[in-house]
Amino acid sequence: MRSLVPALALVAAVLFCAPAHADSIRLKDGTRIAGHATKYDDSKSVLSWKGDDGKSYELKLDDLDKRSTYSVLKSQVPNDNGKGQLQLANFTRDIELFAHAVRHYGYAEKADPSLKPEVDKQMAILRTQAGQWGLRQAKAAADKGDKKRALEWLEKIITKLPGEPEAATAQQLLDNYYASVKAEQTKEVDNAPDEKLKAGLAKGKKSYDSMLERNKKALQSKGGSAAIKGWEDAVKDGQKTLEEIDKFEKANPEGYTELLAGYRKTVNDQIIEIHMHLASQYATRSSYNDALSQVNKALAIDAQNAEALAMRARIQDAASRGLRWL
Amino acid sequence: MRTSLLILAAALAFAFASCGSNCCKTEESNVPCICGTDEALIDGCAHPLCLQDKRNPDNPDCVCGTMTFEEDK
Ligand SMILES: [Zn+2]
Ligand SMILES: [Zn+2]
Repeated sequence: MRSLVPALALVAAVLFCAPAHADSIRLKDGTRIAGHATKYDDSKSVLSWKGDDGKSYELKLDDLDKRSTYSVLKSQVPNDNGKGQLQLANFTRDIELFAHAVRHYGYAEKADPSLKPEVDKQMAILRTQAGQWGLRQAKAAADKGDKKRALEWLEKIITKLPGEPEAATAQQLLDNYYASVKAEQTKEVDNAPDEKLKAGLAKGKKSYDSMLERNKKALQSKGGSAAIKGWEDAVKDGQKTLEEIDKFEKANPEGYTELLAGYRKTVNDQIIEIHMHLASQYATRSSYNDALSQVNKALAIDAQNAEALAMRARIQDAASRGLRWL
Repeated sequence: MRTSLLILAAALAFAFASCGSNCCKTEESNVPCICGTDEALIDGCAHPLCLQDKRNPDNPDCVCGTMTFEEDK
């Protein structure tokens, strides 16, 4: 009995570890087969797969779903094979794994700098495709009645793909959603429970509305320095709003604590969003230090903000490895 | 009884230590893996493993990193 206990513990630990080695492959019809690859025959385009069910499978590349195909092809092309990476990048882009494709274009260019003109050409196609794809996401969200998500996609296209025709389309569509989404976010302020609060925060509300207006104008501008100036002024408006809330709370220390905390959060969320727009704008021009400083400003407001943390990691990665940015 | 509990504790500690260092535990991070979502297609995923272009074993939709080929054992 005594010797059984540690043995059992080890078995348990091994079981805990096991899933780390599991891989899975997906077929076109959606079936997922857990297991691992044993061989790939390039001449026949056949993947040999050992299923966790004990069976051996011979899978034609054509029968795999696109992402599994990508996974197989990728394992055949080393990062230092410039032409191979370029081809892989084109394939990856065309199955709409845009961010992955950008990485492969980066590898291609690094492996063989003479490929730069071709990479530039293909990246231009990628930007168009990504813009069109983003517009479709916005439309799908809007069709489902999710205006907030539709707006998020439009903002993403505008800040990530400045100068593209798809961004111009997104700028035009912005008016369909912006006002109503923002009104939804501030309805608790608009429906303030008493006159004292309404009057006391009138100035703050004005600054807040100004921030929203400046943000919208920046999103709809031609980008570049006009957008940056607009967003910087918008942040100042946001800070003014917070000062007004502080002032009101000082004068009315009781009864409003929770409500004002909610207001502050709404304002701060909007300020963070603007810092993220600025970061995206800078990153698109490869101004990674400026982009990082904007992300850090967002994190100074909310250290746990998932989007800001992710953005910081991606900027640091792109900057340190000299990869391209989308 | 007390000895067997001690041995059990030691074995568990050892097993988890070796487990964490080489296989199942993904890196310490507060950035979640978003591979497989629509956002990730255009933004990319910032999970530490995905950024290093390694597959995240905790997310079956992750296609980062390369497929590993293991001979039949
Ligand atoms: Zn991921
Ligand atoms: Zn991943």
